[in-house]
This record gives sequence, C-alpha cells and structure tokens, in this order.
Amino acid sequence: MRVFLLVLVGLLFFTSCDNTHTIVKNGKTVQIGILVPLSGKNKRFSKQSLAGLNAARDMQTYLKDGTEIQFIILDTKSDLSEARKMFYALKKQKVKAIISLMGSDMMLAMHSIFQENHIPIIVTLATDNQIVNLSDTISQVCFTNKTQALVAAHYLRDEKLLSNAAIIYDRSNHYSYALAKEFKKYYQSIGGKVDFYLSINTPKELNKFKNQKNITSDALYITSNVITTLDIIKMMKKVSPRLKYISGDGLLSSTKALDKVDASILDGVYVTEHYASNGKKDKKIRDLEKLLHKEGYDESSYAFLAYDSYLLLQSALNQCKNLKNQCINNSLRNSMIIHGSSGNFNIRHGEAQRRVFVDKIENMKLYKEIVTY
Amino acid sequence: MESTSYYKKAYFIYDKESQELVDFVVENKFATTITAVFIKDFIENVEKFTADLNHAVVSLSQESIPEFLAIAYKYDFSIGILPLLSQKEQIKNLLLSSNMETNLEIALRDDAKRIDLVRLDDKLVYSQAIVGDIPLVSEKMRKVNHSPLTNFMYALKKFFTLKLQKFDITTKNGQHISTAGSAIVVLNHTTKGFLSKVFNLEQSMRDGKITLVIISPASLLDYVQLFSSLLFVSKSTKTLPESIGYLQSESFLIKASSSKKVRFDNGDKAPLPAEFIIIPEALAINASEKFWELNQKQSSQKETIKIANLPDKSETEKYVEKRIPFFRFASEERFKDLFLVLRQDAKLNKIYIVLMLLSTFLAAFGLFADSTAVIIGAMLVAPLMTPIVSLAMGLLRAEQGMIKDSVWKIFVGVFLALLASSFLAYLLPYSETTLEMNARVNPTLLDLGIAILSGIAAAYTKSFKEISQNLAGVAIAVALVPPLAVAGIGLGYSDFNMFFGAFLLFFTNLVGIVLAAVLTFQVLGFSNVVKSKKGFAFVFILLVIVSFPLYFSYDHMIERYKVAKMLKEHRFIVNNKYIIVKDAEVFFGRETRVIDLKLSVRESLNRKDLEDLREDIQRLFDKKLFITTELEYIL
Repeated sequence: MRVFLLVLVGLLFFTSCDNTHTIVKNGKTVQIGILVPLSGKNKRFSKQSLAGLNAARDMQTYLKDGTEIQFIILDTKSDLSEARKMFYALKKQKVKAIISLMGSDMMLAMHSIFQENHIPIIVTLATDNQIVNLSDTISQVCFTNKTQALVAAHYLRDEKLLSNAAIIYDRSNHYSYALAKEFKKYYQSIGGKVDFYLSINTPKELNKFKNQKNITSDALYITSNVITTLDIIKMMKKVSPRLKYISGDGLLSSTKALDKVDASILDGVYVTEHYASNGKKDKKIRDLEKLLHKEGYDESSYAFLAYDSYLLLQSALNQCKNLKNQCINNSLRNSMIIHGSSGNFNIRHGEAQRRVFVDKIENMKLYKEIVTY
Repeated sequence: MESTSYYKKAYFIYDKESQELVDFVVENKFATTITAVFIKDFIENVEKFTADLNHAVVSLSQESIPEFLAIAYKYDFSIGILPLLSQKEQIKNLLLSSNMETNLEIALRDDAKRIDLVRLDDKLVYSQAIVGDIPLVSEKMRKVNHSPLTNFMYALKKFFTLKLQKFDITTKNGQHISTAGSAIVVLNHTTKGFLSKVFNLEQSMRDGKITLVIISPASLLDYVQLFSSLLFVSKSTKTLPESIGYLQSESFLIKASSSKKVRFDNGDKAPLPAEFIIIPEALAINASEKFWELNQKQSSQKETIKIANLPDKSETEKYVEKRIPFFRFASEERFKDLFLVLRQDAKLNKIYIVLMLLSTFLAAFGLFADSTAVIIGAMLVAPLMTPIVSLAMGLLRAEQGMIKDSVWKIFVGVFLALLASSFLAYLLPYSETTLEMNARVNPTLLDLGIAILSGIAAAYTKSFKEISQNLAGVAIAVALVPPLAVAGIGLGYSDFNMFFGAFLLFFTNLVGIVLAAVLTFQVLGFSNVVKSKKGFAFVFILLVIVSFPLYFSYDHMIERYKVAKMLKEHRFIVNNKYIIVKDAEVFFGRETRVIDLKLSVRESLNRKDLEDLREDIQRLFDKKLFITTELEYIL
C-alpha cells in the first residue's frame, strides 16, 4: 500500500511538473503558400530563408488544436510576371496566408494584387518603408529601411562621434537606393556632413571610383550589392586604413552565400542587423541552428527572419480557430509578443517592433555593439 | 710520467645479456689474457676457478652484483665492473664512462683499491638496506606481478596510513639513540638511491663507517615536501632536510617497534633486530679516477650523530604507532607562546575599551565625512580582531575560560561601538547616508568570502611572530568596526534597514573569521581535532543562517549588474527619436524594480515620448518597473 501511494505521489509530481502541452493531431491541415525566388537574380538569399522556414516547421508542425501546417512552395524565378502567376496559383489552392521571401522591389510592384485578393501576406525580408502602408493585408517581420538608417546615422554620429560620411549605393537596386536615401536624410538631420553620395553599379563607375584613390571622410555607408561592397571595402582598406564602414542588414548572410570569398575583408565592418552571433541563445534557437547546420546552412539573418515569420504565422493561426482570412490578417498585423530568434518582437499596424542590432563583423560572425529597441 | 700497467691474466664473468661482450673483452688491446666464464658455470665451480683467480672483469645484472661481491670478498680477488651501456645505474654508481673501450681499460688496470663493505650476518649490503616504509618513493614497496595502477594504489594506501615507529639504535661506541621514524635506510654509499637526490651526504666507501639515515616526517605534507625533489630535476642540498637525521658509525644494532624485517636492495630480507657491521677495506675494485676522488680513504674513529630534527625520547612516546597527521603539529614552544598571547587577548581591559571607543568615533566621523582614509585609520585602531582570534583558539582547544572571556570581550566591544555611533548620529545635525555608509548596508556572499580569507590571514599572522606586522593589512581587509559604526548610525537615525544591513555585514565578518581561524589553527597544528565540537557547530550553524540573506543579496547584486549592463547596451527609438542609455542603476523594491536611467538625446522628449519609452523598457522586464530618468542633450 505504501509503495502504491509513493508511486502515485511520484506520478502526480512528475505530471504536475510537465508544463509542455501535448498536441493531439486532428487530421486537419492548413495550407500556407510560400513565394520564393529560387532561381534568377535574387536566388542568393532564398535558400537560406527557405531552410529557416522548413526548420521552424519541423520544430512546430502543428497548431494547438492539432491541425498540421503544410507549405506550398512556389518559385517566382526573380521575375514579376512569374511572381504574379504563382500568387494566383496559391490563391487557387486556397492558402490561408502567404509568406513572401521576395525583395522590396517585387513587393512594391505586387501590392495592389495583394490588396485586391485579401490573402494575408507575411513579408519576411523586404525592408522598404512603404510596403506596409500600401496594403492592409501585409505584415512586415523585418525592420524597415527607415529604422535601420536612423540607427546607423545615430550610431556613427552620436556614439562613434564621426561627423563626415560618404555614401555609396546602387541606383538599380531598390533596397540599396532607398536605404542610402534614408541614411543620408537622417545623418544630415543630426549635423552629419555627407561628403559624397555616389551610385556605383557599372564596372566603369567602379573603376572611376577606384582611381579616386583616397577619401577624407570618417565613415563610408555602403548599400551596394554584396560583390561590389566587398570589392570597394577591400580597395578602401588599402588606401584609407582609418575609414570606418557601415552597411545594412544581410551583408554577412549574402557574403556567406557566395562561393569563394576572403572572409577578412569584412573584419571590422559595422552592420545594422536583426541578430548578433554572441550572447546567450535559448534552447529553441540552438535547436534551430542545429537544424540549419544539418541542412548545410550557417546562422543568417535570412534564416532567422524566416523562422520569426513562421512563429508569427503560427501565433495568428492559433488565435483564429475558424481560420478566416480577416481574423488571420488582424492577428498578424497587430500580433501578440512573440519570442523570436533575437528576442521578443511584435507587429503593430503591420510594422515590426523589433530590435535593431549594430554589430561588428569579425571572422564572419556578428558581434553586438549596441541593440536598439 | 708513470705508465699504466694492466693485469696479465684475468677472468671475464658474464651472463646471458653480456655474452655479446666476450669477443670484445678477450680481444682487448691491453695485453691481458682473458678467460671468459659464464656466471652459472663460475658459481657451480667457484673453488676451481678461484684457485688461480687474481682479478675478474664482471659484466652482470644489478641484482647479481651483490652475490658476486660476496664471492670476491670471500675468495679475495679484485674485480673490475664492466656494465653494458644499457645498465646506466651501474655506470652511475662507479662514475664510469659511456664509452665501453674506456670502461674496459679501467676494469683491466692493475691498480685496484680496497673499499668497505657493510655486513649483516652473512649478507652484504651493496648500496642500501631499508627498515620500515618509504611509500611512493622506494621501488621495493611495489608488489611483484601487479599492474602499475595497483602498485600506485597500494603505495598511496601505505602513504595515507604511514605511521612512525620506535627505533632503538646502538652504535659501535655504545651510544644509544631512541627515536621515532617511518623508516631507516642503511647506506654503504650514497651515490646511488633516492636519498642522494634529497640531500648531499658526505660519505666515502673508504671511511670505515656505515651511514644510517632516519626518515621521520612530522606530517604527510612534510613527507611530500621531503621527496618532492625526486619529481623535479634539482641539485641536492647540503642542508639536512627537516624530516631527516643521520648517524655514522662502524656498526649499528637496530631494533624497531613494528617492523620485523630489513629489506636489501636486491630483494633479500633479514630479521630484526639486526646488527650492521662495516668490513673495512673488504674488497678491491677497479673504478674511475673520479670515483676515487669522491671516496678518499679516511681513518677517523669519530662517530657522527645528527638527530636534532628527530623526535627525542619524550616526544617519541607521543608519536609512536600513530598515523602521521596530514599537517604538522605546532611545537610545544610555539603553541605555548601563542596560547599565552591569545589568552591575554581574550581578557577585557581598559586599553581595549579606549581603543574600541576611539576607533568607533573615528569610523563614524569618517562615515559622516565620506572619507575612506579616515575609515581605514579607524580599521587600524580597532582592537576587535584580537578577541575574535582568541575565540577561535578557545573553540579549537575547548578552553571554556578563553571562550567565555573572548565572547564577553566581543560583546562589550560591539555594545560600545553601537552605543557610541548611535549617540554620535543622534547628536550630529546630519541625517543623510553617505556613499561609505551605503557601501556597508548590503553585504553579499563576497563579504563572507572576504571574511573567511581574512580569518585565515589573521590566524596565520598570529601564529608566526615574524609576520605579525601584517596584522594591519588583515585589519583593513576585515574592517570590523566601520560596519558596526554604520549599524549604530542606523540606530541613531531609527533606520532599522540600515542597522540590520550593516549589522549583518559585521556578523558575517565575525562568523567567517571565527570559522576560518579555527580551521587555520587546526591546519597549523595547534590541535589535531576541533575539541569544542558544540561551539564549532554553533558557529557553523550561524554561518549557514547568515549565508541565506547573503546569498539573496548576492543574487540581487548579480541581477542588478546584469540588468544595468543590458540596459547600457540598449538604445531606444521613440517616435523617430534616438535615445542612448548612458548609465543605468537598478534598485529592488518589494514588488517593483526601480530603474534610474541617465539618457542622452538630440531632441527634447515630450510626455508621449517618455510614456512610449517607459512602455518599451517595461517590455524588457517581467516585473513592474518604476523608472526615473536624467536627460542630457547632444548638441
């Protein structure tokens, strides 16, 4: 009898300690569309993002009620008409929401389609400020260009006390152009002097810049594509060793996607980012990293943002038992606080309220300098 | 110039290993006719071979050498030892060369000199014989056919159970020495063996004396210290180590209280009591010039007796058959001196009262003036450490009188300090708490660590007259009076949080010092065990009780540090305004946390901005926050 009571008490103790919820599968599925440029010019970061999404799904496949989340992944081929076609294909399949892994230019071009079709869209990587304002079905998981430019400008001016900056961007790249423009605006508004504001997107322009040899600025803000950025930093480190470099999000992740690169070029470069490599990581993030490694990917802002997008989606779906579009959209655009890849974040009026890190790159890792909330 | 002559005829005695040398020896270039004989054949027909044997070159294993020496001694022929190059021990013993040609030349020279041998009954001691145990050092402690690990564990067990036994030794001249030791080593010569690495004993194989070394460690630590030189390549010293004594005489009769046998270096054993006798000029051998330089002929009849480091007759009875303690017992003299001082320290006197009042007033004024220098001065004047150290000794030795006196003295000191400082706080027109006061109201586990280390330092410093000047440093480290003064000021202000915080710091110091000092005195050998177990347990329980608030306080301190560090790394964007956190301090209320921020901004913040900022900061924490800010503008 005594043994029985002891076993009973033990069982009660253990069951009371178990705070994990056991999900009972109900056999139902919910279809989620993924629009991703797996080929074409924007394919570079897509594989990392998709790996992040798949890892997140592997970690939590089911909603609280036991419904399975299923992905329908379609390749937009980095092409607008293809993206439109794929969007309608997803609509046909009655997906409950779409996670977009496309860039800002594509998102801006498709905003009216999204608005007309009332399918909730989660924007993972596109940082343009206008995306959220142009459609009330869009929720942006990443921070905006405006925010990261503001942080970069203040970091250089108020924390590094650098009063002269040069800006290099690529006018053919919407992200690069928009971010550089925001930075220029903020940096000048707080008393910073912009020595030059230069677009480089052709080999001729690059050669012309290389011949210039030396610049007297304290810092160089550069938003060009990864190959041009690496080329310019490599050259400038030789001629202006005291120059500080700062760039936008995704520079390191894009560099990791390149086949061959001299990792030391980026040492000492500051970036505004969604995460930092150092600091404590909770178990979920460690598990996510393990899954990414298993698939051959390293930590990256693209993968982490995709993971955050999935968590946001799951949270919204869990709140809407009927899985109606309107409910899902409302839950996405004004979300609960979600514990994401780099701390808590939430969505307010479609816009992400999340941390902006200023990191320093060393040995292809991001080391936190400051974090802005 | 004198030319070297060589034996015309000689035998070469070899074993299986040295068989390869036969041709080399036979075909020597010194014109010596060699008859090579296998050792087994030689021993079986010893009478036949020794009939015309004048000189033999021997190349045998280390174990076989003593037996052959006995034959050479018995049949009186000279020997030249020719070790194989792999027999490094023999080469070292005879200071031979690593060149076989040179060694053969030495072995065949017709200039053998006689050396002494040590005899025990019919057995000869070639290099050494041991009575008792020398664990972890002597190779003979090993069990045959066991793994190295088993042997090591066996030696370790022997080490931890090492006991001293009584040795009665009588010399040739009739001197009787009664002492205690763990082992006796009987030496014929010291160029070989572990003792030669420990100390440099002047001894010759031609002095007509036996050397007897007595190993008598007062503690296991001494034993380790004694033989630690074996682990390192170091030159042996001429100074006699503390745990060793030695005698030199023509004969020794050895009796041991527990050992039954004496072990020879070739593995043979003989029963005890045993009489070792020197046989002067017993055997003629060939050796290198260097060997003869070190072993010059001496003919003094004087016996050498160096036993100052060994327990005398009265001490022997105390130590014999007891396990050696890990730490050394303090000497009677040192113990008496310290005990008298501490007993005196435990007694209340006028000087103590005056110094206590002075130091309290000094500390209190220093605290009001926020002056670290004055507070340190008060620490130096403070006499509170002395009764605390006396209390520790009282607890260790269960000296009721000392315990009562020191507790009373501490109580009076504490009472006076509280009274004086609270009176001063009441009188002075200040009512603010200074930084120096604040620094003493939140003790943590770190303070307990400081107290424990200070207690060790205090007891250690008290135990050695030569370092007593360091007590001032200890007094500063412990800082007993300033927390008491703060506690008194707290009473004067009727601020009981301040009183309890500061008194907890004082009490932490008191308990930590007493416990650490008790253990330090024990380690230093002032008592083998803590005799006042109840008293010690009481102090220990107090320590455990004190540790709880200290732990929580420490935990808060760590959390405060972490939160402040985290906030200092944060920047906030509120309504497009960038806010830098320059500094952050966190205070813990019962249900809220108070965060005091120093912010740096470019643009002015309105009420809405501040409210949004508060919300953003609150989102970083689970508990409710109360936030105060100080703004500075970037121009």
